[in-house]
Formats: sequence, structure tokens, C-alpha cells
Amino acid sequence: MTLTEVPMASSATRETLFTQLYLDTFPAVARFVGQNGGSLEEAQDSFQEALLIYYEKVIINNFQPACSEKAYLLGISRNIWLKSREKSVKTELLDDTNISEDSAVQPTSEKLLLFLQQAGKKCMDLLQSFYYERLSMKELSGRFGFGSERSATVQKYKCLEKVREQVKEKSLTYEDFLD
Amino acid sequence: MIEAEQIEKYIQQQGDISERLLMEARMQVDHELAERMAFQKQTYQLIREYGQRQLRREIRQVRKKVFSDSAYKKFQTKVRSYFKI
Repeated sequence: MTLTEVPMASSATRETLFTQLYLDTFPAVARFVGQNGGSLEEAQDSFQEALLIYYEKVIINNFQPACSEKAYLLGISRNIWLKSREKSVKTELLDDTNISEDSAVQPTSEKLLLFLQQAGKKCMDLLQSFYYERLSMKELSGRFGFGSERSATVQKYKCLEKVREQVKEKSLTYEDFLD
Repeated sequence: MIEAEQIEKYIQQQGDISERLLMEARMQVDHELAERMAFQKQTYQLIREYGQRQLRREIRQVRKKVFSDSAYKKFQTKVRSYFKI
């Protein structure tokens, strides 16, 4: 393993971005939710989820919304809040038989992810930078201090194989990793 | 080429038809290869979840900051005014 310990290079940039989005757009979300009888916490939860979607679409996938980015983020937040409201109304009607989406979050991957992080955070960080954040090989080399794009590529696949084997091992060893 | 790279190309439907056919033929005889392919697909999914979790954590930290730090007092007052107690 030749990975050097490098902090997430762009997390500071992300913090600035998220802060700005909160200051610029959240008040409009809060006003909408407030006017429609929702709570501040609901507005916050919806906005938090909307930021993730916004980031994936606009920053990672370079999607350019037809409206302004602020309007786009506001739209996502509204939709999320309206959906959650619908759901909670349905849940009330169903009473005891409710199965909320949150409780359906798979415990399987929860444990597995925790294990993978403990077993090799560097590999997971490298892999997510490429496959999730979609950094180029050049950016990846910069963030993780590789000498060349070729060695970054080799390391990426080595990590992929390592993690894949860990996933396999865990899936076959522990029944509690299976649903 | 590292095998994971070959598997990835196959999953992403890259490479020419002869490479793809070769991979399919290999999987027919090598069941462990087919298994590795399945686990590699699961691994991509886990990497995505890992990335999302990290991002969520960062967003939660910013949320905490803007709603509790006194530097954002004006923002907090404005937002609270939209909710009747």
C-alpha cells in the first residue's frame, strides 16, 4: 500500500459551498414549509437531503438545471418535504403497521460499510473519490499523492480487488451480514 | 491488465465484442469469476453508499454550524421568524 495520508482535498471547498447554499436558499425553503404548516426541523431535514441530491446532480454529474441553481435546490427541497408529509399522513392512517423508509435502511450495508472503513479507510476514500465523486485520474493522483496517473490506476484496481474480497469474505462468513 | 479492470470493462459494457464474448465464455467455465463479478457489482454499490454517507456527514456539520454558531445569528433569526411557536 503506497497511499499517503491525505485529507479530503475538497472538503473545505465543500464546506464553503454548503454554507453558502444554506445562507442563500434555506430561508426560502423555511418560508415555504412554515407557510404550509410544517416545522423548522422538517425544513432542515428536507434541505439536508436536497443538498445531497443537488450535489450529486449539479456538482458530480455536471447537470445544468433549466432554472437557476437556487430555484432548482428550492424545488428539490419542496418536493422532498411534500413527499415526507404525504408519507406521514399515510403513516398516521395506517397507525401501528407503519414501516417508515428510515427503518428500512439496510442494516446489512451499515455493518459492512463500518467494517470496510475500519479495514481500509484509505482504499475506500480512494475508491469513492473516483467512482462516486468522479475525480479524473489526474485529480486523483493529486489528492492521494501518486507519482503518475498510471500508478493511480493500478492502485485503484488493487483497492477495488481488496475491498471486493473483503465484501465476499464477510458475506460468506457472517450470517448477520445477510438479510 | 488487472482482473478487476477487465471485470469493470465488462460490467460497464466497454471493450469490443470479442473481449466481451471471451469474458462470457470464461464465466461459463469459471464460476468463481462469475462470483467475483457479482461481488464487484456489490462493491460499486457500497462505494456509492460510502460516498453518500461522507457527504451527509459533511452536510450535517454545516447544518449544525449555521444553526448554532453566533456568526450566523441574522440567518437564524430570519429563518425562525417563518415558524409560529
